[in-house]
Amino acid sequence: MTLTGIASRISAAYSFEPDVDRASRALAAFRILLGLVVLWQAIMTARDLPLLISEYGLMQQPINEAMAPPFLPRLAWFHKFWDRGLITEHHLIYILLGLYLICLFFLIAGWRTRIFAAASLFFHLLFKASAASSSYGAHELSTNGLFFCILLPVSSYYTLARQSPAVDAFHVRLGRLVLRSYLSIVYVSSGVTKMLGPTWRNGEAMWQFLMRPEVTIMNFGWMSHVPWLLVAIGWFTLIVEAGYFLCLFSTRARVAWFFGTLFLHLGIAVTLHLWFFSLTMIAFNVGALSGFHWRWPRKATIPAGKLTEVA
Amino acid sequence: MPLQRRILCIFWAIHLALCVLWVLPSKLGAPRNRAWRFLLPYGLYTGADNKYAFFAPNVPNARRVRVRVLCNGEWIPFETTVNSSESRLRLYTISSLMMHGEVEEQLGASWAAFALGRTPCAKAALVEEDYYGIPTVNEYRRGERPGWNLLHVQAFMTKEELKSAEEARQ
Repeated sequence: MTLTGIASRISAAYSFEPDVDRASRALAAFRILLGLVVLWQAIMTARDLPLLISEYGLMQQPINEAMAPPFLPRLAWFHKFWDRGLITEHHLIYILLGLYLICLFFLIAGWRTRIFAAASLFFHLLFKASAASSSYGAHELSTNGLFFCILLPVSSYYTLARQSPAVDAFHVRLGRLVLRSYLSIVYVSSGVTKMLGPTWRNGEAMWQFLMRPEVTIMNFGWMSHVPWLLVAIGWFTLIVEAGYFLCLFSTRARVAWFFGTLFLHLGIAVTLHLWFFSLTMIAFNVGALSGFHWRWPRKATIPAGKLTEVA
Repeated sequence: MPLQRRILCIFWAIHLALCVLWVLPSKLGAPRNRAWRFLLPYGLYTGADNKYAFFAPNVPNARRVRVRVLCNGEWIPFETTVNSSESRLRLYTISSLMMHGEVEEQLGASWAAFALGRTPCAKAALVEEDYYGIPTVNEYRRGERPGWNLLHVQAFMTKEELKSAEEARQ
């Protein structure tokens, strides 16, 4: 096979989508799952928002301001409202939260998805930047997810809109390809960075991870007697993360990695209680990899008798 | 392929390329010149500027912050109460930030100010930073157990208290 032939085969495998309709449903499921996770996260922190983002909260505003990247929207942008006595800071926080929740609701419902995804992203960034000292990985991933909801065709199914946009095979293929490529960047970069140090390869990192004080499901001290298991789990993590790029080219790898990542993230959620981070990643993987057939259609073969008839 | 679709493909190719560039270590990535600074708002608003090395290359020690306030000559523990596991996780995030020396004092000062503001009788506060030491597999088998160890203590007091202390010294 020539080099051009190999390149065209790789390119075909890269954009191959066995069932566009299922792929479109997977993208819609991504929208709903991500929206629900972000909504749940917002509700869970609602009562503590004054503590996390207000001017005289646990981390005072100058600290959050200094830690937040420039250009992002933040609560301090609205300080004139409470400086002039028009409204209290506390009330403003909850008005903004209310708007955020409404936007997320319409995003989940799939009504004017692009507009509400953009508005959700704005409020998400506002709350993230206003509490920069306490925002973590799940917030960064949600930012990406909401951005994808603005531009990818995520509202062809499961919407409350009277007329959902028709499934466009090109846009669905491109959308899934973008999601898979993005996740490959996320996982491979994480996997490669882990491989650079010896601790993930020799099981030490896995031991450190399972013995952290946040891990309350059980005492994993018994694993010190089966160190090979720590090495095996460490290598499982490395393979799932660093090998994620295989999903770009192989339909079967997509199925394997879908369950691999599901297992990995459920494990993280159950042990370290990082539920929002894990569910956000699961939502991404549902959008990028799910919608597969349980049984692969085999190539149509012509029975020998028919072949002679044709001949 | 129609022009609109071509533009869309080019846009996503550029977006993903930027994601890769931001993920690369700064030594390998594109030089952070003026043009790069123009791209920063795009990266911030789209999330393209993120790095994803979770627990890599090593799993860091867990940190926790304990605050005690001085009330009527007695050190009383101050609990920062939150209403959900998610909010508790956000407090852990702040605690783990304290391992970065450049912000340690500011974070400690803010936490102390919060405690002093919430405890009317308090005149001083101690912010104690602990790390969770985990023995190696072999050490664990020999009987060592993980536990919290005191790493650092920061002391703060109210302006009035500081003033009166200085006056007393003079």
